[in-house]
Amino acid sequence: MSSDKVTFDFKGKSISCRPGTSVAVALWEEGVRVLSHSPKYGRPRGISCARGQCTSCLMRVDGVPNIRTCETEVRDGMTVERQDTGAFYGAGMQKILATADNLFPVGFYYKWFTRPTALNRVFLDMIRPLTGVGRIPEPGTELKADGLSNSLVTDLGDFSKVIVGGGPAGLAAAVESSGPVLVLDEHHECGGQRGTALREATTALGNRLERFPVLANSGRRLDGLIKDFSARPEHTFLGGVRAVAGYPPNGLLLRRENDLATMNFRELVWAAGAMDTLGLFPGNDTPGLIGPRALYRLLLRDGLDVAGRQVLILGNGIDSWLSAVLLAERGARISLVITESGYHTEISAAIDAKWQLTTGFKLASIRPHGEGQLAATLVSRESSPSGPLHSHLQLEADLAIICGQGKPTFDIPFQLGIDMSLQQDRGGFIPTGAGESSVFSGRLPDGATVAVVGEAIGETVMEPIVPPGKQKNGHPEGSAQ
Amino acid sequence: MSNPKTILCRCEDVTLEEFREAFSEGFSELESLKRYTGTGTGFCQGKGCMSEAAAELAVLRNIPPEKVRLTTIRPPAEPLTFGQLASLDVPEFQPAREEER
Amino acid sequence: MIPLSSEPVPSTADAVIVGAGINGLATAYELAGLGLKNIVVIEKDYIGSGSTGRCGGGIRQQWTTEENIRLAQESVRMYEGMSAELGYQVFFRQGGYLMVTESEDDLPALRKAVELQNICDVPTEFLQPDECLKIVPDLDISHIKGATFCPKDGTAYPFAVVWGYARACHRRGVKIFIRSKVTEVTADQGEIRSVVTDRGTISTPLLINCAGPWARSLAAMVGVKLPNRQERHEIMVSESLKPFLDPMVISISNGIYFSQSLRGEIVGGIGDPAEPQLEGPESFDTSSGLRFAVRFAKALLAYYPRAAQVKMMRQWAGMYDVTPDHRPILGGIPGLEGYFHICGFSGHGFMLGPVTGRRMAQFITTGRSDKIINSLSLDRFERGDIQTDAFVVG
Repeated sequence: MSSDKVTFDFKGKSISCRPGTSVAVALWEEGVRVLSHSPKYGRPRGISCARGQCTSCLMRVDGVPNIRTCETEVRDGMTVERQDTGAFYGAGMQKILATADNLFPVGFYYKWFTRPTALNRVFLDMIRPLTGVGRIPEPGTELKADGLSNSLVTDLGDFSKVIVGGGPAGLAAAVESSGPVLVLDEHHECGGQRGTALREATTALGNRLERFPVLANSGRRLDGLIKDFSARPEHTFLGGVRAVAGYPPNGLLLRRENDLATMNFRELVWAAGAMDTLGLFPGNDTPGLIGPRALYRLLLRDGLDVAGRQVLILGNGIDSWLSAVLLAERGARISLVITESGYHTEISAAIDAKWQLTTGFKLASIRPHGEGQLAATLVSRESSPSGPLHSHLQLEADLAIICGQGKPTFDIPFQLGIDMSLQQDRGGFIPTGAGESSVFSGRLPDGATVAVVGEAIGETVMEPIVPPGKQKNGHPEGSAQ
Repeated sequence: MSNPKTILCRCEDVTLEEFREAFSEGFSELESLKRYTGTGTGFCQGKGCMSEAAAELAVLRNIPPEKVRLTTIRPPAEPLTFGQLASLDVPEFQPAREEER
Repeated sequence: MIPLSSEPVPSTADAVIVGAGINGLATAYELAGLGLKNIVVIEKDYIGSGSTGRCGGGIRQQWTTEENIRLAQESVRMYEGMSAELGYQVFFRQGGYLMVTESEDDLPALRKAVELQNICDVPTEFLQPDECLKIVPDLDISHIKGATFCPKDGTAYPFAVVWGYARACHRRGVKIFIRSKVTEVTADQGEIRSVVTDRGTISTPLLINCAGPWARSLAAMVGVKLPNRQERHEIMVSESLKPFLDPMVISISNGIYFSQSLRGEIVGGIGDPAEPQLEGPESFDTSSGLRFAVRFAKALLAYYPRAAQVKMMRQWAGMYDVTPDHRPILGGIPGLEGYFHICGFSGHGFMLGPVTGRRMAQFITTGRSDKIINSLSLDRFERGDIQTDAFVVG
C-alpha cells in the first residue's frame, strides 16, 4: 500500500504522510511544530495563517528558499529544510536575543558603529552575511522563463462584471446581478472557505443541528444562495483562482497554482472576505495559535488530524461554534473560553456535549509549553489588571483558536485606487466614506467601478451584524500588558 | 519564564514596544515608522500588522483611527516569482490617467 | 525631532528650503555648518517622500563627461565618510557597478569612457564578456559584448541617508516641517520676501528650491520658467536573501539595473521608452503597472537566470525631474536676489545630492564663483552650452 503514502525528507529523516496534504500539516502531525525561527529574536514560529500570507511557515523546499509550506502540497522525494541560517545575527545570538528586550533598541543598526569610518566598514562587512532569510537557489535549478507553462485561461473577456470571492457576500452579489458575472474564489467549491466548513458541520450535526441555531441559520442562508446562484446558468464560478494584484486603471492579475493570467473588468465586486485577527498580546506569535479561517483550511483542505488533541477556542460567535463542532466531530478535546455574552442555546449544547467551558475570563498571554504545546494565561474579566484581586487561570492545549472579528481584505481595491481608512468597529481598513453602510461602491478614474461587500467591509452575511456598540464581537478584549 | 514579547510585525520581528520607541524618536507617520522599524515591509507586506500598527499610532498620536494615514499598499498582493512574471506577455503601455484628457 | 503637523511655522527665517529629500536636507545641513542660523525646511509630505525615497540608491562614477565624473567622484568620497559625518548608518556599500552592453557599436564609447575615468583617477576597467563572470559568477553573458567595472561605485539606503541628514540638521538647529505645503512665494523689488505655507507665512530673504519633480511649479511661483519635464519611473524589490550579488549590474542596452541591498533584497528597475514626459504635478502618476513588472522580470532573467524562483515583493514608482541635457540645474537667477535652485537631476539626485548641496551652500553663503555651478546654471540653455552624457540609464 505504499502508493497511499508520500515520503519526503526533513533534516535527513524520511517522513511519510498521506497525499494531498500540505508540508506544514505533514510536519505538524509528525510532531514538528516549529517550522521557522523569527529573523531578529529567533522566536519559534509554526503554522499560522495557512493561506500563504504570512512568514511563519517559510522553509526551503527542494532548494528554493521561502516556500510557503502551508500551501505547498507534499510530493514524493521532496526535500524540506528549516532556514535556521542565523537570519539577522546567527543562531547563538538569537538565543540571547530571545530573552533580552533592551539589548538591541529599535533601529540600532542605524545608530551603532557609525564612527570612525574604518569601524563602520567593519560593521557593515559583519552584518551583510547576517541579513536576509534563505539562500538563493543554486544555479541550474532555475526555470527558464520561456519554459514556464501558462495554462490558466486568459480569455475572460466576455465578463465585464467580476466578483472576487464566492462566499455568501459574493454569491448574494451574483444573484442580484442582471447580466452574466464571473465569480472567482481561491477555494474550489462555491460557498467560500467558511461555507464549505459550514456545510460539513451541518451535515455532521444531523438532528443536533438545531441545538446550534447560529450554524443552522447560516447554513440555510448559504444553501439558499448556492441554489439561487446555480439557477443562473449565465453566471460562471471559477475555483482555485486567487486575485494577486490590482493594476490601475482596471486590471486584475490572477493566479492558479503557478500560473498567472490577466484580465480587465468594467465592474469589480470585491467580496474576498476577511483575514484572521489574532490581536496584540504577549506571545501572540506562539506556534499553535491560529484563527478560525486557518483552522477551516487545515481541517478541510489538509485533513489535519486532531483526534485526541486538546484545542482551546476563544470567542463567542459563528466561528467559535463552527470551529468547536468541526473539531469535536474529528475527535478533538474541546475547551471553550466564552469571552462575550450571548448564544445561550449553543452554550447549553456545549454543556451537554461535555466540552470544557470557561466564562468570566479573558486572554492575557500565551506562551509555548511542553513539547510543541502552548499555555494560555487568562485573567478575570472583572478584576482590573493592576488590582490586587487579579485572578489567573492557565489552560494548556495543542492548538488555540482565536475567534474574533476578521480583518477586511483591502489590498487589491486599494491598489486599484480606492482610498481606505481604519475603522476599528469594522475590524480594519475599509473604503473611506463607507460609513455605516454595508456596501461601498467607488468609481475608478477611467469609469470602471469597484464595489466592496461582505466581510471585506466588516459585515457578515452569515448572520445579521448587531449594530456597533451593542456587540463588541468575539475579539479577546485588549491585553493585560 | 521567557521574556514575554508582543509581536506587532511577525515578518520583521517588530515588537509593540519597539514601534512605540520609534514613535518617541520622532517617526510620526506609518510611512516612516514602516521604513524605520521594518513593520509591514516583510513577506506579508503588512497584511498581518498594518491595521494593528495604525490603531496603535492613533493611540500614540491621540487622533481618531480613521485619521491615520495608510501607507501605500503596492502590488502584488502576494510575492510572485520573476519566472511567473516573465511568463506573461508584455502588456501594452497604459497612458497615465491624466494624460487621457 | 520633527514637529508634528499641528505646529505653526516660525514667522521669520534666514532661509527657507523647500523639499526634504536628499537635496534639501544636504543643503540645509551644509548651510547650517557654514554658520547660517534659522533655517527652515518645508516638506509637503514626509522626509524622503519624493524622488529620494523612491530611488534605487545607486552611486556611480562611470560617466562620459569630465564634469559628471568629477562630481560623482567627490560624492563617492562624501558617501564613504557619511555614516561617520552624520553619526548615522547610511549603509553605503561599495560593491561596484558593472555596466554591460549588448552592442558592439557601444564598445569604442565604453573604452573611451574608461580612459577618461582613469585620467580622473576613477579605477574603472574594461571587461570582456567572460571577465564579467569574475564579478557576477552567474551572469548570463550570451548577449553581452563588453562591460566596464568600477569597484568603488556603490549603493546606500536612501531613507537612512535622509534620516541621517535630518537628525544632523536637527542638531545644527534646522527646523523641518513635514506635511506643509508652499502655496505662494512673495518677492518685491527683485528680492525674495516671504514664503507662504498652509501652516503660516515665513518672512525670509532666501528661498532654495529643492522640490525635485515639483521644482518647476515652485519656480513658476516666482516667475522662473524651468525647462524641466517629469517622467515616471518604476522600481521593485524582491524578497530578502543571503548575499549573492555584489555589484549593481546596469545595462546601457535595455536600461535595466539591479543590485542586492544590505537587507538582502534585489532592488532594480528598467526604463520604459513608452513613458511620456509630463509637465508638472497635475499630471503626476505614481501608480504601478504590470507592464513594468513583466518587462523587468524578462530583462532580469535574461541577464540573471538564477533569479527565476526569487520572488518580487512589491513595485512602486517615482518621478524623475528631467532637464533637456539630463544635467542638474544649480545656482540662482540674475535679477532675483535670494532665489536659488538645486533641481533637474534627471534621475541622479541621490548620487550627486551631497556634493551639490555642499557646493551650493558655499556658493550661497560666500557668493564665490564655482566652475561647476556656473556650468550648470539655468542660462546654459540660452547660451547653448549643453553637453550630454552618453551613460544616462534606467
